[in-house]
Amino acid sequence: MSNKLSRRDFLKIAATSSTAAGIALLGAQPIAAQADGVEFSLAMVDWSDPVQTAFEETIIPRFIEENPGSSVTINWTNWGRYNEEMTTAFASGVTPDVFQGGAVWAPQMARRNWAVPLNDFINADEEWDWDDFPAGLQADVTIRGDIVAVPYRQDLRTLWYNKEMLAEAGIDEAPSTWEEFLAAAQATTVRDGAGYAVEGYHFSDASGNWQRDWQPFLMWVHMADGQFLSDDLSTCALDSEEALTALEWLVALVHEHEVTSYPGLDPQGDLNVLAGRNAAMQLSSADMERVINLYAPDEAETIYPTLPLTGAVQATHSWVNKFFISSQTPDPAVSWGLLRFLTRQDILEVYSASNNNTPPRLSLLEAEYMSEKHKVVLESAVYARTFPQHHNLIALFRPIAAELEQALSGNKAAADALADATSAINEILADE
Amino acid sequence: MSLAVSERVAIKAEGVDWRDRIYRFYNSQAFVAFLFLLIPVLLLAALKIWPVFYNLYLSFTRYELFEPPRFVGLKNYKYVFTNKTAFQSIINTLLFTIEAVPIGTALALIIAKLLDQSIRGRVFLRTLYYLPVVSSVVVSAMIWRWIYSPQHGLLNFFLGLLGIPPQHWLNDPNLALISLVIVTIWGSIGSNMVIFLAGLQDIPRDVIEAARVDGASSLQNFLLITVPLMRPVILFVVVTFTISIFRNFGLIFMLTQGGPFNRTNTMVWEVYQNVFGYLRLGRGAALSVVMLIIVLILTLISFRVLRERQGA
Amino acid sequence: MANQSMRRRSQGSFAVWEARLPLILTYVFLIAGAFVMVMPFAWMVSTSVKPDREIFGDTIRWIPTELDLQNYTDAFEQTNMPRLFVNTVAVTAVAVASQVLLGSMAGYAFARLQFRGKMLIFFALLTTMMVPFEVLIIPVFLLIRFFPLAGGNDLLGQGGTGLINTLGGVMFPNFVSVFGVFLFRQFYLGFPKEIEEAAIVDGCSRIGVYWRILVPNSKPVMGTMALFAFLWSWNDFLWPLVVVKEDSLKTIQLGLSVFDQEQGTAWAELMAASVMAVVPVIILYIFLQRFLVSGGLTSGLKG
Repeated sequence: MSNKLSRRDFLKIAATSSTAAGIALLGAQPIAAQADGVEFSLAMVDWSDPVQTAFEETIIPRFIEENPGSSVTINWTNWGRYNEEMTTAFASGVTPDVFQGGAVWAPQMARRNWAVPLNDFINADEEWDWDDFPAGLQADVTIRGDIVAVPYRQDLRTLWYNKEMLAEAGIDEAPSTWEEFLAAAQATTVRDGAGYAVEGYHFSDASGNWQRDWQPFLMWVHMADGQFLSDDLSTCALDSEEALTALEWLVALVHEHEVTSYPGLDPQGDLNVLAGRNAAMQLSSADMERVINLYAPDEAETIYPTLPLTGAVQATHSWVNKFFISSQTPDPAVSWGLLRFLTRQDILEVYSASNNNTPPRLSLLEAEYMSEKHKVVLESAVYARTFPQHHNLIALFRPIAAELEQALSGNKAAADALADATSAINEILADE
Repeated sequence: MSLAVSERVAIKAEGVDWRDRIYRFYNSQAFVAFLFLLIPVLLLAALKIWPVFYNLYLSFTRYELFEPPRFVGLKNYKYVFTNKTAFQSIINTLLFTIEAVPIGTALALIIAKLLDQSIRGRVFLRTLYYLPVVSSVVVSAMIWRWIYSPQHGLLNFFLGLLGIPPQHWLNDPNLALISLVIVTIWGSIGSNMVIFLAGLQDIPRDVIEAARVDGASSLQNFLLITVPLMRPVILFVVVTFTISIFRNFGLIFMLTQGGPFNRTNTMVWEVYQNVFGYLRLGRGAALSVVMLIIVLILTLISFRVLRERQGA
Repeated sequence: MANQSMRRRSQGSFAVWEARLPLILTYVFLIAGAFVMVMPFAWMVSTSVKPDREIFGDTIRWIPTELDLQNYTDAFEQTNMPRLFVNTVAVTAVAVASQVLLGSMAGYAFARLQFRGKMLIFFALLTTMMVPFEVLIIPVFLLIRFFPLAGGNDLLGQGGTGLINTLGGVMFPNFVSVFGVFLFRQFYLGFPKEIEEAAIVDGCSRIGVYWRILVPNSKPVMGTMALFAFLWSWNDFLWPLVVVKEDSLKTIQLGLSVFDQEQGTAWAELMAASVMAVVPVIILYIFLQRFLVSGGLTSGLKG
């Protein structure tokens, strides 16, 4: 702990002196303006009691201590209607200074000019240390050279499994390839008449959410070394051999191997299927650890994450959440003062710890709250891919969701479903 | 207004005393109408009519909020009628209406009629029937999500007692829409019943008594006297109920998000997706104009079928 | 008819039963229906007093093993319930008063007065009822954003934030409802014209007719309207969500979303808070029920 502090102190000194030198050299290089006596507004969607407590009791008081006389009004919202709230705010021109956004927001905000590019602030602010963010996350928020947001959290999905259930089925090692995974799934599945008592692998929930299929599907596509859009974002890449391999594999898991049902079993309230012992394996984020510790502490010693599976390649997907500065903030340099504070290492540590998030800064790998399980999840970052940087991903997801439904329920051949999804997506892309 | 002017002219010609003249102007139908409608119409013009015209304008443009609307002619309308998903939303909405309105209205009317009798406990029963109306859509949707839950749900629990295998209510393409219809009827009976009850107060008791003395059965009474006399109220309920179904957003948002297989993808959900999901405000606007026209046609049909007896 | 002849023919207990049969059937039907209507609500109440672990068990438990009122105190503390209530009552009271008054005035004009363009205006208004609010949000939001002389705006609505983040902004779209205009019109159409005509012959003005005859006699429809207006305003979620940014201005439905967060739903507290949110509506309903059923119209007809 003291070690880390001294390193931080060292960095602070180094950064301060180099920043001072930079300002002296470049004159009007923009940097966070002094934020004393400013009224900030902040829109938070990452809403849970622990996060709110961390903000009210630690983070905001510390900000006000550092910026005397300032105040921060936080508008807490949940994801359900956040989109409407922000769209309406931007349409009318009355927005918060700093706001949170989800995994697909960076290209949208850049395209609409709703977010202030942060390159100048970041380049001039060495103390804050942009290089501490992994390259993949940096790329995710950099749109055609403009850094439009700063990550505050990443949702890395990796394979979680019930050690005990696997051991009872005679499997002692966590699966690492598709073949091992299938063997483990077959060994642990328990059928109950026409249905399932235990799914060897839990693919999707029964609750009617349009994202339920394509999110896990995307990870299988990544493992098959396929991708969603072509590199230049002009066409859909789902009509590839790789994507077909992934979809046929999933269809086989449902209909041929019968290790998962479609639609899947229902979670019991907040107790997800894995924690409720209705499934032996599931692709999930570090939130699994929080759920188990909170609702199923008895399972804490049986449920573990393992590094992403290897199909054609070892891969997973990362959902990157980030903070933006609104293009309508009166003085972006002042708002940068708040944003840099919120994404500073010490603040991100408080924040990530409060919600058991996977932090976006590499230096937090050794943070106190990082459990062994959590470190495995963060390690998966090396294998993670992020979304393509198209500005209308939400519209593009829809045809996949629809065709996945057809293929997984057995109404349509996998190849046909992918071909139809591809042509529907290409049609949308052509119209953009 | 013009009527007022002509009345005034007429009054002047007669040469009546000015106080009388003012009174007659003040008491003219046109002036009173003007007075009574001024505030509501101004407010509604700002809150509803202007946005509707703005929407009509947007429906001929491509608009994504960040740059000014660009005129695209009928392209958005072409999309509405040629895009499979968008067109299916029209069919789904009509199916929803056909499944919910007749049954929902009839049930509400029958229950209102039964609860209009002087039977013991009617006040209590009325309150029970009204209960679903009082909770917000968010809360009732949450409760129904649990009722419909495939593994832990109440409905499958009851079916299990009867030996019927569990159903995926909201995830089964053949059951999803009907599941929403059930929730909709459940949620609307109370409010429609209240309107019917208020309407039943207007039916002169002596007419029904007279019919009873003449030997009409309760059923005959209901069909031959109550229903015809209740026409304006039935019309009102049918029209507002239909409209509420066309606008029903919360349930779909909370329960199915348009799925499975787009079976519950209604027009309002499609509009919402286009406006707030894909930021294609022009398409959303075109679809909502089509929606408006369809409801208008349905309303006119209702007016025709349940023809009003003006000034009964 | 068959009933009566049957009754005449047979005597004794069977006849008594048969005479009562319709009533019994009515009760069976009504009680079975009421059961279905109440069940979800009963579950809400039951969940609100359950300990967390009993909410999602494999067995369905209607009566919790232990009564846990902790959920209520938790819900009360976490939401700043008194403030939510004050805000919601303010917004709702204005909506109810305004919608009843303006609705009945406009309804009277459309039902009873002859003026040029009546049907045109009426159908224009009726049409707007059919547009989903999701489409209107952005234009109406622009309207309150550029509302003159509010929130730092000048006369032309520039310079400030208008009614955004004020209770006035929450109230604004609820001052008048087309539904209300339509409802009052329908009821006034069914009003016996003779009474009004007699009053006019006696020298009563049109406004006098409205105020002295129609208003006192429209308690049922006013009660109905008040109930609807109350419910919409009380249960409104989307509009307050986009207008209000500060905790101190939140209404009760926004307050409820505290329990529906990213990490899942706090069912027990949510249901406890929902019960608290619903109680005023039920009380109002029971109170208004007298007006809903005892219209003064029938007596007027007998004359």
